Amino acid sequence: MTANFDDSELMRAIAEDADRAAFAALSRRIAPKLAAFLRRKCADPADAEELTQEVLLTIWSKSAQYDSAKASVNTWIFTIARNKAIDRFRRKRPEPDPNDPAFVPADSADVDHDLDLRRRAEELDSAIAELPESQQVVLRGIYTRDRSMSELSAEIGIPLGTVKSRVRLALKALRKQLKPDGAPVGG
Amino acid sequence: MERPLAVEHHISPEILAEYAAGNAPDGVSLVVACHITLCPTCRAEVELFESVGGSYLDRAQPHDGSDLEAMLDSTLGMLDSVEREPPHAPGPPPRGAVDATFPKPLRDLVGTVDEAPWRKRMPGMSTIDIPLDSGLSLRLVRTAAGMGVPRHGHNGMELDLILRGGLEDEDSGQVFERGDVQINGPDVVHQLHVLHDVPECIILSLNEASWRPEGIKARIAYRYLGW
Repeated sequence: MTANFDDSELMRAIAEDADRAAFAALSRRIAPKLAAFLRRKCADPADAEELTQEVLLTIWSKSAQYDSAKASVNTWIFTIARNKAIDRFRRKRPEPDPNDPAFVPADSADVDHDLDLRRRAEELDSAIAELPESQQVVLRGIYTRDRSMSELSAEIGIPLGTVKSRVRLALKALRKQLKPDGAPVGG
Repeated sequence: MERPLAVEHHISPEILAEYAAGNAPDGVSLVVACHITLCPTCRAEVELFESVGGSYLDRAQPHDGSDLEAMLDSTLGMLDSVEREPPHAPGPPPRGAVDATFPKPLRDLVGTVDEAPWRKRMPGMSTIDIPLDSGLSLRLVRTAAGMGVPRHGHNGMELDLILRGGLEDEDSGQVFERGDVQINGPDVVHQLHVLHDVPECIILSLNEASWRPEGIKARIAYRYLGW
């Protein structure tokens, strides 16, 4: 998993030095995965390639906004790809705005400073693989097959309540892996 | 706002994950975005669930021998024409400039409370219907202090976010105030009233289906309202 370690270094070079070689290296690694990931959301493979390019250019333009304390590079790129796909095919994704006077900031005491994102990423990968297949199916459905839980329920032919509880159980197991001390909220 | 927020009633984790994955239906994503503006706990949950997305992205298997070399070359050639954005601006936002009752994702749709196109439906109640792509029904409901919400069941899921004032659910005894979310499924039958010690109550209410009125008063009111 040294790739993840290299990614943070690459992002720093891209953000601070506008390092094109670093950007080329990161792009080479991530573009095939992005194209595969985005192909699920686009009927036309050419659209997927175009969206991939847009995501890469956004990585370049927003590199100074990547915060290595908050998320891994893969997660940050995932959110860019997610938003680009939504903005293209539907109306703009509603998101909280930290500059909104209504925005309630986190208590600094709540922020998890003891973050080793590399370790967390590895643990997350194996934790997902260890989930029961029925839970993996629904998680894959919402994350990689571009389905809402309602659409999954209709497609698989099981009640929506069952889909929801499988997602909820999967998240509970994953959360335990990522935050062994944390108690889940929202029931 | 008036006093520090202490959100007690949250959105369920599977809906937060659906939002994090980018696949929450139109309307659900708006309610989530507004709730997590006000709730740092659920916002942190969304960030956690985004890292699940990062894991799936990292494990995506490239297809056939699709050659991305040409695209990569052209991307490198375009870097000069791309504006590089500065880091996120630090520091607190200016306060008092804008009425912040509606979180920004909602203000972007309907404006502030005073600008929004309220329709008076009956004494003590105004509403705004917000059109959605998803077939769900989204409305803002503004009611006077103390007003009752006649007894009803639900034919589908309801997701309500309190934006101002508060409601008491007379069946569960729970009180919902700004930032709180009430989720009601088809098994829930209840009546509520707006708290008495607030100027008014404003909620953002998402409904999968109509309400089932219980009793003649409810039937008349909800038929009139179209709920």
